[in-house]
Amino acid sequence: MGFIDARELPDGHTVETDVCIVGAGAAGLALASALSSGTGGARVLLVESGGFEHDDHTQYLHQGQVVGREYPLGISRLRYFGGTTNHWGGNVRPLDAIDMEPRPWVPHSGWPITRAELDPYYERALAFLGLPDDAFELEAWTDGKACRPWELEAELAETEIFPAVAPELRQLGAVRRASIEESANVDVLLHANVLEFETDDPPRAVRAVRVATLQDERFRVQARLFVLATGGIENARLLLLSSSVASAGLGNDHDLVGRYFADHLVIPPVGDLWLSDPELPLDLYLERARANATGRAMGRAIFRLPDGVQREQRLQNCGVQLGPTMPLDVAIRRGKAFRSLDYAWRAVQEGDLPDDFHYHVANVIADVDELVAGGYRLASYRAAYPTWHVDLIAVAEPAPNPESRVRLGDERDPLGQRRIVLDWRLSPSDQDSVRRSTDLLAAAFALAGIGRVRVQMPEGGLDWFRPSPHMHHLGTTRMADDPKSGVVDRNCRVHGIENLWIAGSSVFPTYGHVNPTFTILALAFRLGDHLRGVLA
Amino acid sequence: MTTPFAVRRRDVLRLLAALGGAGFGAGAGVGAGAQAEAASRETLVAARVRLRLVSPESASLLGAAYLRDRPDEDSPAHLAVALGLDAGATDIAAIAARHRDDLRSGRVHRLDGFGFSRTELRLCALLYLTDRA
Repeated sequence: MGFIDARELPDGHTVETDVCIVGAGAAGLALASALSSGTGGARVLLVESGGFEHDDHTQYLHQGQVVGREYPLGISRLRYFGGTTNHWGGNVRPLDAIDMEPRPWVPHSGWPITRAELDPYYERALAFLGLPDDAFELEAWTDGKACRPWELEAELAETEIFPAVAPELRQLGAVRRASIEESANVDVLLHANVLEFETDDPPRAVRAVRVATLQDERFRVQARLFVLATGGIENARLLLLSSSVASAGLGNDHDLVGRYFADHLVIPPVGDLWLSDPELPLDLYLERARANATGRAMGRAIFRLPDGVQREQRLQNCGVQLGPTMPLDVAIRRGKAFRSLDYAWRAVQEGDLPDDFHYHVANVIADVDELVAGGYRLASYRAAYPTWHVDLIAVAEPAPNPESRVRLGDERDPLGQRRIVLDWRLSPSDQDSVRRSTDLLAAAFALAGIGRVRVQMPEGGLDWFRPSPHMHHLGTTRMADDPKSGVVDRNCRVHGIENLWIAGSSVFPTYGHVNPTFTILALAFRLGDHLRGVLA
Repeated sequence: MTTPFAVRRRDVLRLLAALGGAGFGAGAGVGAGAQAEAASRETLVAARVRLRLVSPESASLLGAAYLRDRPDEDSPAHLAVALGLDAGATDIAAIAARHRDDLRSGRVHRLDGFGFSRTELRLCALLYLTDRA
């Protein structure tokens, strides 16, 4: 069948399948891919709220109320085929081993599985994204000349590669669409909004999902196995909405669903680094492209403190990247003329002129005065300040906080479903850890002769600490062996529900400092293997 | 010229130079422009940091800035004892190790947000007091 428009199904209809995956974002698509073979012919149905394009009416279902720290709830999720990968930046890196370990200095830390258990699935995620096998190997990105890592003492600080998927491969819906059309056992139901999981009474198994279109046709999907894969906020919401039998929501016997909501903390800048040597190569630490067999990969290096330092200093994980080289650079680079010039120049170099090439040339001509004036200002600035100084931008791991949560509010969406209330909170250790990590990194730079860091974070309490959210929704259905500590078990099955699993970053008990999509994919492939065993 | 404890000025400079690998660097010295900028403490520190090799002038200015923050250390005797130089010995390896240990263990002092090891700033302060004398 391939793709089915739910608006064309008759009201009251029941769709039957073997595996029902709710949500066709990164997690759902990877899981569907994993189940597209080796399942003995089991049929897989992805149930997706949106269609192939962004639609305001569907997106409006995502609205909610923010009562804690400011949070861009409306723009941080996309509700159509491909999900939030439709505006994904493409950055990938596995969690560090220490991220998944219990850390006595980080309350509620520790996964029930290890990084080693995820490694084979990270490899599959690399292939899924069209990245080369050596994407994380530093040597693969260096040329030994201008593009090389700084010589830091290994026990003080590390350089690690942070690759990004090529832009044309980031929108996973578009990338996977053809393979789904060709698949023998995977179908997608579009414009189908899941309202609730129907369960037995008492709730030990899911029998069906109730679904509605925006035109208010209502129907059900029955399946043997169900997987919830709608993102870190909506996963919690759908469990909480499934309260016809379990009044507190499905899987919520211990009031854990929606708690521990977290996001990575972006602090730009934590400081600026004044280089001892203006000729120190920066190339590796700024984004660069690299060709590979399946297209292009982008990559840049970042800094982090080694596991040993984190243990010794009782720190949460934190990655630090170089920002733009100076403020005027930013001003110029953000200008329309520069961006068009850059785009047009790259196109000429690659010998592949896009259809809108003339548009960019026109931009350059129209704003040539901006380019010239900006270039003059930049040259003057560099003459006055011959030493480069670069911003240090931190992306930090927050500590799990049970008071940071998603819950249901009183407002309702057009389908009559209660909207969410987001109460995002930080922990006192978050700012302390970022500050001390910056100090230690600054010491590593000083000892290596790289330069000196001017720390731009005053000492004090959380009142000065204004990190931006990275728009990664984490932790609301966390994984733990003990049902009193987590919503899902080590196989991502909801505790107490025999045929409901969760895919996505909502299962992360701790968060590391890296973007979550790569781990979401790895967990989805791991879940695929597990479900194949269940189906057998 | 010697300090009041028989540590010669050039030895203090030699010790500071030994920390050059720690990014403590200024070019041929603080230039006239930077000297003029030194009216403001922020530009003083920034100028000091952006230059590449140790210069007596910039080190001395940093030492003065340090002593403004730590007037309790405004004494050559105190600084020499704190640096282990009171016996007149100028063990480069020991000073370098002390500097490294400061940075690694967070014994830093901030001047306009820049973190310096206590050891390097005490050397700068000793230089400043020597020059002043």
